[in-house]
Amino acid sequence: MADIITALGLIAEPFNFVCLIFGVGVGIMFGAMPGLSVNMGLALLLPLAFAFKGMAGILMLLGIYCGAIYGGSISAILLKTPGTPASVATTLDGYPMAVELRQPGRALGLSTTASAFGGIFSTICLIICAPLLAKISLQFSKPEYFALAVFGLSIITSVSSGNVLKGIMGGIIGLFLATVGIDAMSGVIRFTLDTTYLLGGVSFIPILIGVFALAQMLQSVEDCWQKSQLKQHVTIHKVLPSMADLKRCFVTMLRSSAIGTFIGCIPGTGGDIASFVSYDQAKRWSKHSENFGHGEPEGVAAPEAGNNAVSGGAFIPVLTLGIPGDGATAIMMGALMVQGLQPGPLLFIEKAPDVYAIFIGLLLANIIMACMGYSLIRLFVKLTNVPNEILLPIIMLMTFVGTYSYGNSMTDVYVMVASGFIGYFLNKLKFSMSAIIIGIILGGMAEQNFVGSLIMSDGNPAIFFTRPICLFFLAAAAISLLAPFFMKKKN
Amino acid sequence: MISMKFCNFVVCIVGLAMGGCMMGASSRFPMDMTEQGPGPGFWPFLLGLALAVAAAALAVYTLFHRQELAEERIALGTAANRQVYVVMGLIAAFCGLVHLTGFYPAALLLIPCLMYRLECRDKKRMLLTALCVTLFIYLVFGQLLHTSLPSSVFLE
Repeated sequence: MADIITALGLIAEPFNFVCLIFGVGVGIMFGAMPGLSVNMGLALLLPLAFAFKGMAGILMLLGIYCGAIYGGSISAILLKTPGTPASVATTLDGYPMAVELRQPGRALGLSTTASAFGGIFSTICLIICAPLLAKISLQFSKPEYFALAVFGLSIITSVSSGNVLKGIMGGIIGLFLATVGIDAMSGVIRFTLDTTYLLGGVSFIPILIGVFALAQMLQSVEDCWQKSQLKQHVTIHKVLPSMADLKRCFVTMLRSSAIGTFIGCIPGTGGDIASFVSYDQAKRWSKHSENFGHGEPEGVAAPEAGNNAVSGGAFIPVLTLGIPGDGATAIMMGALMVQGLQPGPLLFIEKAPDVYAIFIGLLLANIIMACMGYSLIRLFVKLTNVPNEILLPIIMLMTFVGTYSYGNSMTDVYVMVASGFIGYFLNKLKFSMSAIIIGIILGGMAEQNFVGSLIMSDGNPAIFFTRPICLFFLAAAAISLLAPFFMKKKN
Repeated sequence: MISMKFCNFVVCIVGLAMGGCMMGASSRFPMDMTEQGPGPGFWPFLLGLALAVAAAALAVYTLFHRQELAEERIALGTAANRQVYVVMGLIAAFCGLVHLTGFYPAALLLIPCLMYRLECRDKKRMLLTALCVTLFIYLVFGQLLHTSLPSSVFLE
């Protein structure tokens, strides 16, 4: 109880609360503008989060994470251009409702309500499940942690939609980059090319900003070449959904939230899968299934509740096991680590107030998101019309400023620029950027626990196959790695 | 336009070369099992080996799917790509210019250049955007967060 009160105190600090509100607002903006992603928003504002020491920065990132998933629905509904992949399913009924039925306010209101409902539902699940799972994982030792890291790495196959083998190659490169610097076990200096810059290891923040923000900005430059930007001039009269709509969509929102939370818990999945599964289930169970695709309210509520419910679910493996489920949670995990919060079961014991502050912050972020959605929707709608010629130079400058301010080093900027350029070409070759980042983040955990396990067993690798939990995670990793090959064959 | 098949083979060669380099670099460190566990070269050596194996597997995959991958085209030389390369050049030039002039003057120059490349021809808009964005960065990062952005080499 004392931890919860301390956490409430942390959240109630005016600066922390302002950061949370700011994060939600910025997140909605990033989500609403087509071409900008959740990952880009998180990567760009990550250095700013470090400038705000302690919980303020983390709360800001939580706000961005929640806000951006919701914000994607605004452009999906008004422009039929989803701001984020998670909002693709929202276009199916959101756009017809806004344009064909001429009810943009109703569509946006429903999406706001469903998003907030899904987010709050999944946060409650997180609050209930995470401490229980953390208690179980307290029994883990080094071999289990190594197996867990391998399982975490195996999700690379899921995040590598283009080519699994290239995803694995990217992950291995990420793991190798994590070995640069002083070896934590032996103290030996490795692969530093005789530079002091690499002594502390490869700083993943510049790489992260490069591959997620600069590379994406370059891709946007290519995409918008000689293409006229879609613009929408709508008049929104009423945003709050009617009681009839709420009654009609309540069960759908509940079902979709449960689906989204469950899918969010599974590393390697994400909002896009959750929204499509939720939409499909809503259509299957609806009494008005024939209206789907023509502006059905349940068709708007289901994907939005589903994709926002992923946020709470995705934090369960991150906080309890230290496994990021996708690029966005990998960035969040990186931010926690840099702030001195090492995700894992010990976090619940050593930094309990911070964990509760994250829980409360996530809950509040969803409530703030709903308030902003209802009151500032007209402003956010205007943001979807910001021209690329203004937006892209701003993003470019922000990548520079963000990277430089992280370590006051031009070398970091060069690393960021090089990562961005390489990332642009790697994206073309269907390499997964998330795989590289997950490799860098989990690299240290994998190596240290691998070496530690071998010390425990006097060099006998059988230790990984004789412990039940360890074996379970290794088997799960094998299934996760091989499943895409079999599924592809079956398809 | 080049085919994904060609690209995959290039990736395989690069992957094999990188894997080889990683193994070579790791073998300079002890790899034997001691009381402190395996040497610091063991884990990176394993990673190098895994990368080489994955690259070889990609080569086999590409051989088996060569027809399908030959049809998949990757655009690297279109007008839109050239636009990206020009922007890359501008970014590289900006990094150099920051050394000479410092961040703020370089930013005031970069924004209109980028906007021009993105087909903006409205000079007023270009000037206003450059001024507003630079002022925003100065106020937020320079004044509020006390980040000292790079200054000119002539001023240092």
